[in-house]
Amino acid sequence: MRLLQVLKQTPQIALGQFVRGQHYIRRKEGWESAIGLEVHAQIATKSKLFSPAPCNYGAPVNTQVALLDAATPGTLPVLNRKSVEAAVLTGLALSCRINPVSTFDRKHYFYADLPAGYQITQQRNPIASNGKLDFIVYTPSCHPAPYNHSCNIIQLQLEQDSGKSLHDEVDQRSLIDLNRAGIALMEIVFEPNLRDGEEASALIKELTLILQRIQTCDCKMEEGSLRVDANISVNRIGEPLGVRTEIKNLSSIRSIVNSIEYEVVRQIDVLEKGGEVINETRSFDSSRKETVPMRDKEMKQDYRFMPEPNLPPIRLLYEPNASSSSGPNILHVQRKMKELPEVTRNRLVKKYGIRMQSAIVIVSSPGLLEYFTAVMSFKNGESAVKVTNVLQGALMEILNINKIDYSQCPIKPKDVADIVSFLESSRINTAQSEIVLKKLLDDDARTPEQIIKEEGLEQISEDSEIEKMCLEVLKNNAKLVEGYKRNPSKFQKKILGTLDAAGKGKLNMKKASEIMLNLLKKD
Amino acid sequence: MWLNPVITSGLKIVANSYCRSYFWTTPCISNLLGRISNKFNNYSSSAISDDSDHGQNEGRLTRPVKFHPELISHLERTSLVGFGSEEAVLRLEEAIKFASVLNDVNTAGVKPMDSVLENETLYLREDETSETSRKDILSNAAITDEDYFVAPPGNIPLEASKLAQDLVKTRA
Repeated sequence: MRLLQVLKQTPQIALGQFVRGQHYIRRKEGWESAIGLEVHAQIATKSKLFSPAPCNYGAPVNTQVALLDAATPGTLPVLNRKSVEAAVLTGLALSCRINPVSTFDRKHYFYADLPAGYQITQQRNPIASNGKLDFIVYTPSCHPAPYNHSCNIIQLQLEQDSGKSLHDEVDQRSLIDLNRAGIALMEIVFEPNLRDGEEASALIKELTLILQRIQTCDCKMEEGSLRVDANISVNRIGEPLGVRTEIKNLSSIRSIVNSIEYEVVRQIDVLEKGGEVINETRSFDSSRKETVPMRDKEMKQDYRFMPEPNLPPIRLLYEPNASSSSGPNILHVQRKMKELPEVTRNRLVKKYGIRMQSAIVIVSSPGLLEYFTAVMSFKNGESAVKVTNVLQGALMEILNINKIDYSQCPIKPKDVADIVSFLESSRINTAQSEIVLKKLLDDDARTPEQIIKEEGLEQISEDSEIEKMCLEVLKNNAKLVEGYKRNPSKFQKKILGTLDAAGKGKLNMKKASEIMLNLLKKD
Repeated sequence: MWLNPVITSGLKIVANSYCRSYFWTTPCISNLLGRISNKFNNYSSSAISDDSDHGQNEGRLTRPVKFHPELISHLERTSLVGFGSEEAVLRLEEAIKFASVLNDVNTAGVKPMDSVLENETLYLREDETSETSRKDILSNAAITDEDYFVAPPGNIPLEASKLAQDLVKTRA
């Protein structure tokens, strides 16, 4: 039986903007690193995977625990339909092959926060497998330009979360909270196609965007909705993959990048000194920015996988005419698919003619996509570059200072569109636009038009006016003029700066610089 | 108490003929045995140092099964059951040798059975929450502290198995 494969729309990326396969983080001579991630994403459902207990964040200790989660004898797991649909939707979004029949297994290990002594997971027949995630790697401080990379997905499976344990060193005990025990997780296992921490963080950011778009996971790493484990190994170029170590429970993008970079350097160091890398589990100490072995997981675990005898296989339908009351239907789930970030970025570049760097920022900043689209609707789809300059320039800075994002921005999109129009017609300059934006942000009820008129923020663009100012500046700054005659390049900036200050930021500096330079040449 | 191999093979013949005439056909029971033995194939620990090919070509083990002391420690650690004496280890080794008769069954092309329910479809419930009671959940715990369960710290590595250490001299 041929299995389902959904064809993703292949993006039409403008060539020349990317350098394919380019990799910027330099390793020590002759070494390369391979990183494979395992992501645990909490499925956004009301109840847990196998029990009807709620799963809200921050609830009081042990108040969201059903008898099954506490491994009370006589209870049986009953699977949550919504988690199956969420897993299928995520599999489709990640171009995976959805397996029509999938089974559950038990993974046995002893730990106080796992009351049953085993975790129900899908190891042999997961719900989805063989997928691919394409993403763009671009960290402005590390990379001169964005580049494409992709990572293969080995499998996507449903599994239970375990409880939380607080270690009390003083009294030598652990305090166990089972609120999280049994929560539905999707484990996404990636192939070790990543080469450094920045690529890993780009992958996670793209995955976060996708999962939030299709609303299967809220991806709040601070709340534990998304956890990443990194498997890291190094090898000399040309040789097979080396022994890997696993770093568990990385809970922020920064810690992913830092832990991977530290671990790669550590492993190269160990191997160069003639030692061996031990296959172990480590954790990341974010204050010291080091990875340390996890004492609890020193022994190599024998998980003794066995099929879960209480759960028959999940069977998914693939029929266009089936009713929604029968089993979960892959085609029904596919109808809930939303536009994926990659498609959006390419659409923005194509439709508005902006650069990919801008498209990346627009898609990844919360609320910016909707805001941008709203502003563009007032501008009839034109001057997108100017709009992005304003949105990503002054406005973004102001929003950052006030710690709000675009979805909470009080400035009406129409007002931003008007400001952009004024900038284009040279009626105001950048400095003046910032003043208007600040006023609007402070709940100024006037329109930009009114503010400009009433505050006298219009730009001085008349040649005669400007010339008058220039002459005055030259008169009052004889020293600068002298300096200019000797060393024009050095003093040009200073003179223009003085001119700007004299004009109190109201001069059309483009015109004014021209006029000033002409005057200076004449002198 | 291990059974004489002659007796076991004798039993097998008897069982087959008995079953043939009354309840199941021989192919069916071979199937069943094959499915059960393949379960070992998927999950067997590779630490058993008997280089059996698990029924692919050879069949039952004719050599005596001998556990490496490391395997003994491993088994004790993962099951949390102590063997107690060398006799118990011998007994388990004989049991494995006895069960290896299952490898005689040709299971080529037969998919392993997970459970008798494997042809059913899993029932799915709607995503609704229901009441939970913290009092009930904590009621079975001997010690709790401010509504937390109390457990010993982390995973303390078990002391090395004394039996395994003793057997190192005689076996490895």
